[in-house]
Amino acid sequence: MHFDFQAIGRALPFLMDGLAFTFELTAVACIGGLILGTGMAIIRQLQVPVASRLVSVYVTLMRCIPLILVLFWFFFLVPLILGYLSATGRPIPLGPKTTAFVTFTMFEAAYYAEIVRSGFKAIHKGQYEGAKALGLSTTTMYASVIIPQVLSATAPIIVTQTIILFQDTALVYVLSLNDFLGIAARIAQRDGKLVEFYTFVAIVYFILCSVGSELAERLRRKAPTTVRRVKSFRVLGLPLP
Amino acid sequence: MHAEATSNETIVTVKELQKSYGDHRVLNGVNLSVKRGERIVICGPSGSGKSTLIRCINGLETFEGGTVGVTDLKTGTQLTKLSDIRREVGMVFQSFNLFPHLTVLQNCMLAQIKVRKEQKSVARDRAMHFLQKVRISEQANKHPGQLSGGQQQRAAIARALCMNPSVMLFDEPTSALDPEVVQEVLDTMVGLAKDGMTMLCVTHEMGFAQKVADRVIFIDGGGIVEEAPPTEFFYSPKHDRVRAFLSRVHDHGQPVAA
Repeated sequence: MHFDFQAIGRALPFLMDGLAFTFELTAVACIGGLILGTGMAIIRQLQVPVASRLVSVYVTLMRCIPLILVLFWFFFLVPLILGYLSATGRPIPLGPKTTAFVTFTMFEAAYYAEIVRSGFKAIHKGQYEGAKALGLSTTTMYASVIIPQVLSATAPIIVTQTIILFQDTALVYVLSLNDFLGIAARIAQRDGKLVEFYTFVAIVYFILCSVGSELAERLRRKAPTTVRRVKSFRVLGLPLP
Repeated sequence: MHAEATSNETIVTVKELQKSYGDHRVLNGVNLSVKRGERIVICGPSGSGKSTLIRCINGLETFEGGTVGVTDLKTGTQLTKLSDIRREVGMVFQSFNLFPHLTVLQNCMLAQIKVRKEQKSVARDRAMHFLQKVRISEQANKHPGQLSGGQQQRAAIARALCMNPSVMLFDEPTSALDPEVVQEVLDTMVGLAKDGMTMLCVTHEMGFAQKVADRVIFIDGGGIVEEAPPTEFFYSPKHDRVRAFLSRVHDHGQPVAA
């Protein structure tokens, strides 16, 4: 069996283009999703009437439907809906790239929203009380006291979710977009070098995701615990939290 | 230490306060009036409603009946908005509630900047002043997690003082501390009292109560059972429940499980 790994070298510029797209999609979906997700989590936390119910339904929907279906649905159905709503009545095509960026952002937002919401629950009630007792407004309380702690505490889980997102981006294959895996697959099939290219892709994914996992682990070890010196721990001989 | 309150100005008024948790009536028509400069210690068995009472004053607990009023001493008007009340009323908690992601100094500056709208430099100066007062100025740039329990509680006291409150509430400030650091916090509170701060203190520290309080209030079963100056309260209490409570409490603090 003869493997031509040199072919990878020749295809490297195209592969790097694909990797750039993968990074771009991951970054946009991560940042956009985090902002949207945090907003949704705050809405639920504050129990805003109507809005928090909508958010709840949205999050359940996104977490119960496979991403690949959401991609298809967005690509085919949303242009029809937009067309129906607009004056012309004709479907407004979104294009695969827009679909990919918007869908991934909205999909990840649901997952980030749940992560941040569980983060809120993990914050000691006393933090809210200490902030209120000082007279901090709700906005300041969340912006300066709660959110920083939530993000810090949930950072490992957020990084893990982002690693999953990074791997999920390969699904844009179904929209015929040129991400890292998509380009590698196309060249491999055209040149008949499936083993070489798929091996290379697997190694690159493995290295990048390992780095991400290590980051998540470092963050987990560094996470500050909510500070409570409780006398009973020492008295009972238990390790301090 | 038992100097009379120097004025007739009433800062906090509690009238017929009713508070229930579901079916359980915790406060049953409590009346309390606090004058400027008074130091009041509130004690009683667990679950008697003493923490609930002071938490109703700054709105951390809602209540079903009665009124709670805080007077702005500068204008003489009753404060009705919760945000105004919380500006005038400082609180120190059993679990400190310092913000762990900020340094001690930042903890003390945050509310000054965001609520009192102070300049950063003014806020920093005032923060360092009060950190010096509670004797932890050298810890200013550390995070709460790096401090001992006693230091954290003193930092929490400084943080509350930075807001220039007219009355300070203490909710069992030493109950979560190791015995060896309880005294440093009590000493800080005694210092505050000497400076004339109006204080409402829920505590089991009877030695502190004897030393500092103008009045000691005993709450049991949702109501004030006895209210008297320390000498009378500790040496000739009128009610049996108070006598029983005092006999279970050691000289220096923690009651045996009620």
